[in-house]
Amino acid sequence: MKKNEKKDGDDLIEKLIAAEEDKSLSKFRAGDFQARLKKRILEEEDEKRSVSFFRRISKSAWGAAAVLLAAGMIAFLAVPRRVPEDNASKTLQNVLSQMPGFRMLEGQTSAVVNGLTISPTPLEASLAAVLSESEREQASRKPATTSSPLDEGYNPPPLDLQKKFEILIIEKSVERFLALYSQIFKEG
Amino acid sequence: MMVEDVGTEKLAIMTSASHQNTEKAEPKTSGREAVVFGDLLAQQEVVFRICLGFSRNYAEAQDLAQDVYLKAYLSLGALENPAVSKEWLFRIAKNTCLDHQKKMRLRRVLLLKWGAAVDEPDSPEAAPDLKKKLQRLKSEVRRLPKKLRAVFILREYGHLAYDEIAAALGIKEGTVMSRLNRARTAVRRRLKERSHEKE
Repeated sequence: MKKNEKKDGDDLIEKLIAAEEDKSLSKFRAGDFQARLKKRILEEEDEKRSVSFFRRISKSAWGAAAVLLAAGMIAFLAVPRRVPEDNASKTLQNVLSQMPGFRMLEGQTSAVVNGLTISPTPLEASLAAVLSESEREQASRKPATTSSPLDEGYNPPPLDLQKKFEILIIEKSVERFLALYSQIFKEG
Repeated sequence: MMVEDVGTEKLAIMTSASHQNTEKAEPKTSGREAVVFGDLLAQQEVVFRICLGFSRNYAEAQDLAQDVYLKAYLSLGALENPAVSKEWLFRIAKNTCLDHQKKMRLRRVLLLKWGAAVDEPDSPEAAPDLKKKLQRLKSEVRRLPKKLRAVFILREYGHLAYDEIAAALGIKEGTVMSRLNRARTAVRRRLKERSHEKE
């Protein structure tokens, strides 16, 4: 009795499954499974290929860090830095023109400030000498180009006011640096 | 005839895929993998039947079968022993289908929780008698524990031999037989109960 029930039950299950399979398999065979699979595989391959280089390397922390570092370096090299010397030479000229002794050396025989006659200090005199020398050299530079510097001995190229100021600034910086460090070394 | 045709066509798929891969200087498939994939494609009907057993309808089963082959294609490199490629494919099929069922169950629970309408592929009331019975059977199979369900479907839908099921699931043949017996008994009993309820 039980065996029959079991057999009937199994038969029913098999019958149901077979009915479903017959219907679905005929559809499956009619549909082009392989063509659709091929399309899907190719889509998957395309998708993989379309992943950009940056997306791939940015997946790793080191890759992201390298990209940031490279971008930083490019930005540092590409952005032009401010040149403070442009304004500094004008400022120096303004300061010099305020000095009464310097004004006198430029054209006046004497300067009178608050009723007192002021003569140029040694610094003002040397600055004026340097400036007048550079102006003279600039004026004589054009004809001098024809003569060889080897014939007349070595003549350094003439410097304009801005160049001189740059050199002055650099020398001052080095001097201050050395002074500071010599103090530290002494203390050490 | 079928197997040879399938193998040839598969090679065409693999060749075109391999060709595209070589263009980007990263060949993903080798000649050996192409041959293995050809052997796997010869099992497409078995895979489809297994997917049909796990799914609720034809369309779902077809999508699942595609997913199975895509997964197999993408992980061909991980297959160390081509001699067991068939069992490996059936394992992928079983895992893919179980994952899908899990997702569908979660989706159903969430839809019910949010008060949204749960889509049923077919209405049993409107279907003929055989269809109703079939839906009852599928419903009962889905209610089986995972381990019993896998054995039942691989045997009843996939028509796999006991040793093939054992290899695919990594269990002993004796275990396959006992699980199959338990699964059949449970389905049979529940179907009987439901038919009594109806009466």
